[in-house]
Amino acid sequence: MRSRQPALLWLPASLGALFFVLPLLGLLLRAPWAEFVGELLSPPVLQALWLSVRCAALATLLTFVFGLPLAVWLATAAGPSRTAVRVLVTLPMVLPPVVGGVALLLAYGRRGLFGQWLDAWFGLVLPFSPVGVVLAATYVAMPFFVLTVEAGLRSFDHRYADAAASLGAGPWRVFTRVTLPMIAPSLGAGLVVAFARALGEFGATITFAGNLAGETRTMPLAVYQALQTDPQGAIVLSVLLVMVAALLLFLLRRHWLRVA
Amino acid sequence: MVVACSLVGCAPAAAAPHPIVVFAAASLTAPFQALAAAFEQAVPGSAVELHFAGTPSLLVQLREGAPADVFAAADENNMQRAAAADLLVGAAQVFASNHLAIVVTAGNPQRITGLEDLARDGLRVALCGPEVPAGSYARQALAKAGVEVRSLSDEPSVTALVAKVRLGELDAGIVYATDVTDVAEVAGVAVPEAFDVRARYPIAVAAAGLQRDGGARFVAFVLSPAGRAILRDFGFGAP
Amino acid sequence: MSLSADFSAAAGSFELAARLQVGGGETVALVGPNGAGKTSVLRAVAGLLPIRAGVIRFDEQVLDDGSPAGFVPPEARGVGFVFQQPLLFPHLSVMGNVAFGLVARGMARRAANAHAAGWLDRVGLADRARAMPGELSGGQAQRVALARALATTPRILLLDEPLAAADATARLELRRELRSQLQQFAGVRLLVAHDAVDAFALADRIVVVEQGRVVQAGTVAEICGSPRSRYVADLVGLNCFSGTARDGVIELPNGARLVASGARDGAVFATVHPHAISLFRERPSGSPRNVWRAPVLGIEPALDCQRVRLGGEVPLVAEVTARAVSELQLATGGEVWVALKATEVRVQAG
Repeated sequence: MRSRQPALLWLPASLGALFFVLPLLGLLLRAPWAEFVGELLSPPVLQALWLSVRCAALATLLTFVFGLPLAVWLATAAGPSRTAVRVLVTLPMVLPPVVGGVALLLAYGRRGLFGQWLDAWFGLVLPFSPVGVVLAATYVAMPFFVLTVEAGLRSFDHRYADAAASLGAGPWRVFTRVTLPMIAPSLGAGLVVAFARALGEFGATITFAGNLAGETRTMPLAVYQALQTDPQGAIVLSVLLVMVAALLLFLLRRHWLRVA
Repeated sequence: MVVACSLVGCAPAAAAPHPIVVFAAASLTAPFQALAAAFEQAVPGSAVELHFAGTPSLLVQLREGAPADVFAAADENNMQRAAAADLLVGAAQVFASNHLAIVVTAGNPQRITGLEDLARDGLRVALCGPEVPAGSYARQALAKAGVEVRSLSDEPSVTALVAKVRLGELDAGIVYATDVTDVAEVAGVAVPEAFDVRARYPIAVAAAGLQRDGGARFVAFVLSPAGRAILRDFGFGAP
Repeated sequence: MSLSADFSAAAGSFELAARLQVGGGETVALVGPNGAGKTSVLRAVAGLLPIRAGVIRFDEQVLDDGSPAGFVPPEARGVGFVFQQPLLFPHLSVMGNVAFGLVARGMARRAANAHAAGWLDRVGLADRARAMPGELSGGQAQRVALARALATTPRILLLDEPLAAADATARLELRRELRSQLQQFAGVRLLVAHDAVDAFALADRIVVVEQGRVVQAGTVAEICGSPRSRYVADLVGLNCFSGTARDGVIELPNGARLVASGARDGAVFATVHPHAISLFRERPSGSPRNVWRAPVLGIEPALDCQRVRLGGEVPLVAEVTARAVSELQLATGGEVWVALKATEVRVQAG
């Protein structure tokens, strides 16, 4: 936008920017930098960080395996069924995560619609387990991936797929050798956003997977717990999470932060 | 900002005096609602505003300068921390007590009769986190009984813990006796006197508030025979 | 070896009904206005647009008969498709693009690359094998697209306005390239051309498509000699009129009359060659049966003459020499006498 903008906009714009800057400043100024490294390397923090990274990575993998076909279907389907599935997939983005956690319990919990059969047939109980953490993270992260990739697929020029088909490529080859490489930027952005969201997941996790050190206590849960007993420690963990998020956004800058 | 205030209901400044702001532990929700109503009736023109949360959360808010007039905690540790941080006016007084109870699914299908049953293999048990008073008491009780329990989770509050027993995700947990009385899907199993840890609820006037006198009057009301009667109605014991 | 198609298909908002036949070694050009359904014909032949009814057949093999069972998917049809845009896969090198179809058809990567290199050499781009498509000019990219399509040795070569993406200078060279490649290609060749020059330069036969229908088919000479629609007439530069003939006089829809010798009664389609129109300062005396006065709307230079656009009841384009323009003192906004011999009005049943 190179046209002249009304100067009146700049005041609320600066206030809006300040609104985001101040909380960040609060964290950075109050952080006990002297003990920062020591706190970071303490076993409980490393444990929570390692658990978070593993669970977020697995959630991202699940997101890819199931979210990609979903995105493809959404990008090609039409009519009311598509709208319905779209709403369902988008719902976790707008639901309070705690509600998501309750819904997960009712579906995959020990007495849940599906969970009771898992328990009866395989003795598998998902809540209060790391698998539960992965599931909760997948539940909240997958929508971001699906919507990002769906948008990528919609802007994909299908004449390239036509060209590939005319050259003798079957549908699978067209998909893997032409479509996927050509929407790689959307795929990458979707994966990073999903990973970031999975890493930051709190509400659904504490509700569905509980909170046990080494098992299900991820970084956000550790921050919540530390806030009640050791506010300094909570600030250290928060700063760490801010750094990780900033790093992920840096990776995303080409896709989200750069104006075309 | 003006719009935001009218939407979320900022206190009208001139029309009424500031209400008495009471920060109370989550487990006190029911009795304090009754106490506030009784107080407002006893003191014409007064208004009480109640905030409930886990005691540690309330303490964090007090530390960050929340303008509370009264702080009612679920344990003495957190109250001592508040005193040490100069957040109180005068000394705290214990106004009520509570017992521990094992919360189980209604009908007690797992036939849990005491703390030692909680160590049973295959039983799904969780406690509140050690920073939560109920979690700390529960661990003390288990230690007294010499029982080692593998807790599946450090639940953030007794209400969260009870909810998961209600949903059937957990077979049992340790909460307050007052938490299990009014909930249909669960039942309470008493903890034997020898291992029980009596939860003691202290109350104090908070320093950051705008209604210090009102706060003191509310504290006095809670400690009065009328206040104790209300607490007793909700299953709380004498201090 | 021949491709025969007689089918109907949904093409956007209208129903396409096409019927055509292309023999081996023959180039057929589809011409017609934008949105007439030319590209849809190619897509149906390629299997990118399933037909509704009818049949598309290559020799004895049915490629599509409107039923799911009779549908041969595009990858199994042995077609080579050159699109309006080059559509080179941006994530593959030039070499990777040309080798794509070979690998897709089961050739080993190394052999496919060697084969692709040969094709790049044939289109004069051997030195750009490692380049990425984004680094090529429009003309180069379209040559790579041509090599990519030809490399799979298709039975049917489909070209959809292959010169559209190239700029004017690249166009000449690309047209030459295309003609030589088409001559060497033994299979069936079907081409969509928006530009008459492309069609005439490349095709043996022309099929005119308008509003989803084939309105005329024939050799270039046949089409030019007797265009059957305004579009074709405009394409070859003729004036044309449709009207109703009666007793040797054609009445146009706006009431104007043209005397045409030999016109049979009924609906007719008449053409007048721009050279056949004479212009005068004074009312001409003599034999012409059609004489009227018309305003000059514009004068445009053409290759070897001046094209004078005339208004009035019978709008026409006349072609005269530059000398005539100055002698007649023609100018936009002026008026001139127009004379047209009855024998110069060519009439066919409309």
